[in-house]
Amino acid sequence: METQSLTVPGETAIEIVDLGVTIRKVEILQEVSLSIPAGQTTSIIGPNGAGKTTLLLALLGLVPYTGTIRYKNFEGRRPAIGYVPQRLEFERGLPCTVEDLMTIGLSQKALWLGKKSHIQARVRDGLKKVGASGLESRFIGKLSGGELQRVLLAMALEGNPQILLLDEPTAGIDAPGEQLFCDLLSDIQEQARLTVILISHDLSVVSHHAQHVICLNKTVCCSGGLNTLTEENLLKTYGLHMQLYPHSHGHPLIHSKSNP
Amino acid sequence: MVPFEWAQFPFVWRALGAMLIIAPLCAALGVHVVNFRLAFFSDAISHSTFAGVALGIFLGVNPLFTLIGFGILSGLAITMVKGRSELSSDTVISVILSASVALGITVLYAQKETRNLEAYLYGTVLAISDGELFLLLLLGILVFLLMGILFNRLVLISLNSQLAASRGMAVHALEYGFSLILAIVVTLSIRIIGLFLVTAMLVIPAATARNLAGGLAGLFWIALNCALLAGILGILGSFYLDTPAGATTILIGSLLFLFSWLKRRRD
Repeated sequence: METQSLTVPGETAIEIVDLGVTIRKVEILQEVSLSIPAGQTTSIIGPNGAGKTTLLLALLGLVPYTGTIRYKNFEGRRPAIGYVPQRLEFERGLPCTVEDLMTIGLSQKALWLGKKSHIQARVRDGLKKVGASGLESRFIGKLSGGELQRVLLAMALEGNPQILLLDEPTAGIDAPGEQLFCDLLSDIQEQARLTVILISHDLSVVSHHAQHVICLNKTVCCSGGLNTLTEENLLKTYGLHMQLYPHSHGHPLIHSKSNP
Repeated sequence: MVPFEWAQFPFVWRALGAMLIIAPLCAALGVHVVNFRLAFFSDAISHSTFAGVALGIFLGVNPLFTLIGFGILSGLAITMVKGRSELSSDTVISVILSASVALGITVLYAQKETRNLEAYLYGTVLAISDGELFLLLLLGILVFLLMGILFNRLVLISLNSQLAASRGMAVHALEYGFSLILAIVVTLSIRIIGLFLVTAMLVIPAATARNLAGGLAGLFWIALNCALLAGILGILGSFYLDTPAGATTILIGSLLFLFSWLKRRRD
């Protein structure tokens, strides 16, 4: 990885104080105060409509907000942020190859004027980093969920980000694909000492891959290390009775008690 | 039927010239119209110009100016209302489309003036003047350049606008800008294709190309060539068969689409 790390683990990367987001008169986030540790994976969990995606969009500066977001330990500059969206919106008939998709993110020269060879080489390298070599000429509509997520991750990594935001990257991916993606993410994160913020519904992914957890439901219900995932805190966040169960692979898994 | 009989008539050359400008423009925009699912939007722009024509006749000014003005206005109005309303976009579009068509019909009937209307409904490319052709050429070059500069960005916005914005693209400005360019090209194409069929000129080449292309570059070039082929054959066909050039062009375009669809099903 070429990514330079400007952060030291144990320090704070992002400090959010009293953040509020109101869209079309609907209050989506209120009094959100938290800090995101540098060089670690922080997972944001919470029920649907809790404002998880909105928090990511606020970090990206894509929604208006009140309060402050401070980036610390990046030599006073706003760090480069990579964003992996949950999905792309296209009809399956769109003849867009993986190489096309990566190229439109890298180059402003219209695709129909031809691709530069150095851009093609960057696309190849980028795909290799995420274990997606050979997908270049596949249509994006023909990729599996896991393959598309890896391509989107490759796109996000192209800007040499210091912070990586992922919006439910394992939603709609089968179990082996999920494992593969999470292992890949861990490798990349460790190599580049990236600060990763990950929204996930899947609490097994969270407990296996994150070092820090934020429970969000309009405001911060709890935050801290993995030991924060107590029954009491989950109840507070989800309003449901949730519990950690031992997983068959030995990782803890969380289920609602009513539907184990 | 004499082959090349058409070549001795300057009006056919002018019509071909106009089609050689409008067809690639519509194809270049049409690729994004299909990606953004804006077919109904462009239908609304073209149909709302009906009110512009009526108003031009009512006010005694050249309907061409009021037509362009109305097309742009309704395009921007839809984009604005869509962004600020809880209603779905096809509902917003439908309301603005119906309101402007109703206004057009009311004004025209009150005026007892329905002459010249055919020219706008069906298009009159064979009656285009040198001045109009020159204007079309200037605008065509400008829009084509813009489409070259914006192609990659527009595709990324259509795939995920937040991803595009996170990479520093001015998504709202680009969306408004594209709506504006689309409104201008749609209104100018009405003179050539007729307001009934303008949307087809945008959508059919892009849809044909989707069936055949192996990538986004191919999508663009196949759409462009389909539009040109249909346009040229449409003008020459209309000369020999004495049919409206716009409708003939769209019919040929539809045949090309049918072939592309059959080919895709076979593969």
